[in-house]
Amino acid sequence: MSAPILEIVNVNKHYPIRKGFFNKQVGLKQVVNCINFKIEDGETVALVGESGCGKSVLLRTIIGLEPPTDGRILFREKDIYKKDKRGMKEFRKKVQLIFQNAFTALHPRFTIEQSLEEVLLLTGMKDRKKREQIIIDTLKKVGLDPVYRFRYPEQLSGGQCQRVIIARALVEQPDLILADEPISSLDVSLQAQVLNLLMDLQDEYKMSMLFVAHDLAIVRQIASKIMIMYAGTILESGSSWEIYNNAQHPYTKVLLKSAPSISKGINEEGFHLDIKVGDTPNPDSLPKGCLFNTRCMYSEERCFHEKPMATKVVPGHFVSCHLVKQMIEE
Amino acid sequence: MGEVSKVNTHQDNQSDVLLEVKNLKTYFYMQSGDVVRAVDGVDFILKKGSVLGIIGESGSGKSVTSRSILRIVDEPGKVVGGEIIFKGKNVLELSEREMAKIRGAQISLIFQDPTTSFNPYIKIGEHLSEAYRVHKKDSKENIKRHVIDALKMVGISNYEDILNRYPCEFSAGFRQRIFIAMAMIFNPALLIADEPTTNLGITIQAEIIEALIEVKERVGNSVIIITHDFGVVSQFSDDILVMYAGHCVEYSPKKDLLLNPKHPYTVGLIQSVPLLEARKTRRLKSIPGFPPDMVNIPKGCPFAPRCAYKQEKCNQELPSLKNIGGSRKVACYYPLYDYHTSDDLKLG
Repeated sequence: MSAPILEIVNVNKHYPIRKGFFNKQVGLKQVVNCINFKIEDGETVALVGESGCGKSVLLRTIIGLEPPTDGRILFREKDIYKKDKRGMKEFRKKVQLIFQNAFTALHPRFTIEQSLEEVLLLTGMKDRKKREQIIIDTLKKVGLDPVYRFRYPEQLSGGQCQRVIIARALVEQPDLILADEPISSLDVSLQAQVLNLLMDLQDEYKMSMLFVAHDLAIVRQIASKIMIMYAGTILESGSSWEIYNNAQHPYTKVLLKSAPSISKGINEEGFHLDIKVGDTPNPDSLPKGCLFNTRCMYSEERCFHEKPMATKVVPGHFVSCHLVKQMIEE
Repeated sequence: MGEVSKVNTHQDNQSDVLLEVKNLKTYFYMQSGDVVRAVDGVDFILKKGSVLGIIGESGSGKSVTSRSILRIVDEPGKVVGGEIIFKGKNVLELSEREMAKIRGAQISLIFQDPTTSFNPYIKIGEHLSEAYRVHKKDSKENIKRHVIDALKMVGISNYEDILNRYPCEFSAGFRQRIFIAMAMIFNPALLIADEPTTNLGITIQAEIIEALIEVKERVGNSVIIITHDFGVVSQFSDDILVMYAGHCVEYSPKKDLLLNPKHPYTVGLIQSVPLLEARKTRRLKSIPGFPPDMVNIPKGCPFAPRCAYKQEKCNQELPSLKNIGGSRKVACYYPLYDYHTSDDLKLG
């Protein structure tokens, strides 16, 4: 097997909290804690977590906007933060980001053509005719009429804007796409259109994708591997089938239970949430031991002292939970 | 408060019906001269103690429907037709003073965003007691007792501590709970929840719905829940009303609608919405096209341009909501009789 396209090794991202006249550091916001994962060529990995769990920060470190406090991000086996200027340019060509809110991600005074052209200009394509041809082709691919290239973002609907954002990510034919909740701001009937479009494009270009979402329902169709993130760490990761049919971590089970479901409505299943009322822990004062212990219904004495390590359930399926580990060992 | 209607013109068992909306029309007259028909002929009946889920995309008129019921439609919107009969009285004919007595006491509204619905400078206790004082003069002790009762109802136990704090000290989910308590302080007969869980995390969403169910079981009020999320309506409602471009396209009991949807739009939604259930195909079946521009809605059925089953008639005439048996209503000339949700989903 060839090397993975992206490898994240022990990545931490901490922000100092400064106060007072001399900007003395008084604390640490631990937003991303010790993340490890790999994305193979052509694979779609989903990162699922609630708002404030650090998924967007992790994406920013991967794309090269904010260096991690600790750890390495390897793109095709090379650390992206050790690249020179030219290497970085090449990297930015190969990795593209799809933003969450389509309206705010487009320049309001640029026509769609200008927005798309900008990417090509930055990577040094000088031939004007060629640029125009690429833009027309890409717009067609994302299902937009090429005449839209003369319009401004405000003249397009939300679904169309999101298509432009996807087109902008595609003009350079990237190897890896990082999609930050690409469908959560869209209307219900358009979500499927965009999801299908992403799947079609992926089949065509054979690119890899890291798909960030906040609930498990959205990634059911698209992801082959799923990671569950909570308070900056990955609590459970595994193949899509394993997560949906053999979830182990109490938090994953809660997410599965609280996600939208028609069959629960048909079977008149009630709500019985196995979670304590509360919020995700504040990143500047993370709890000791297991990060989920403030809301877990099953937490024991040692969950408050000892940090659980990732335990293998079946090959490729890892859980960080003391209780699951104990169950497996027995 | 408990006045029973004397206008028994309807064949249904009148004492059972809490709210009846008949052919409601709310239009927005824009400065440019355009007319946005945000709600254009919506009918439904809400029985006492039942839950109605209104589902639709943004701009389909679901929020305007709820605001019309409370008569708080923003300018330049205006209710131009129809009847809203609440406890036997037409709400649209009441004076502003009578209406003020109904708002908050008999019909309350929960808003979408719990961060902006509180005044940041006013303590939680003050918010809650004000909601009570607006309608009834009472001694301080009595008001406090009611406030605490309301907080208990939504599962908040350490109330003493909460009353003296400011809204910003709580998380979004907790604030929404407090808001539900505020809306329920007078035990209103009808609670309208306008996207109560949108923008909240998935576990907090479940928490809020659980609180709504608990309150409903205790008080026995009716609820109208407005959402764009099929999961929320499937798990918490008795009847479902599907809206599209200001029209009600399908209205039927929950189970029938989920198992065997009839309107092509409902079918399209169920086929395309990302769900937890495993599907038989990897690709989702999507509805082609985009929702219509509300200023110039196409002639005929508003869904026709996106509909795979449309025929000549659909482009010409607007279908009305017709009863097709078994208390199911569909606004479509050619409803789908042979589609079952299980064709798409692997339902366990």
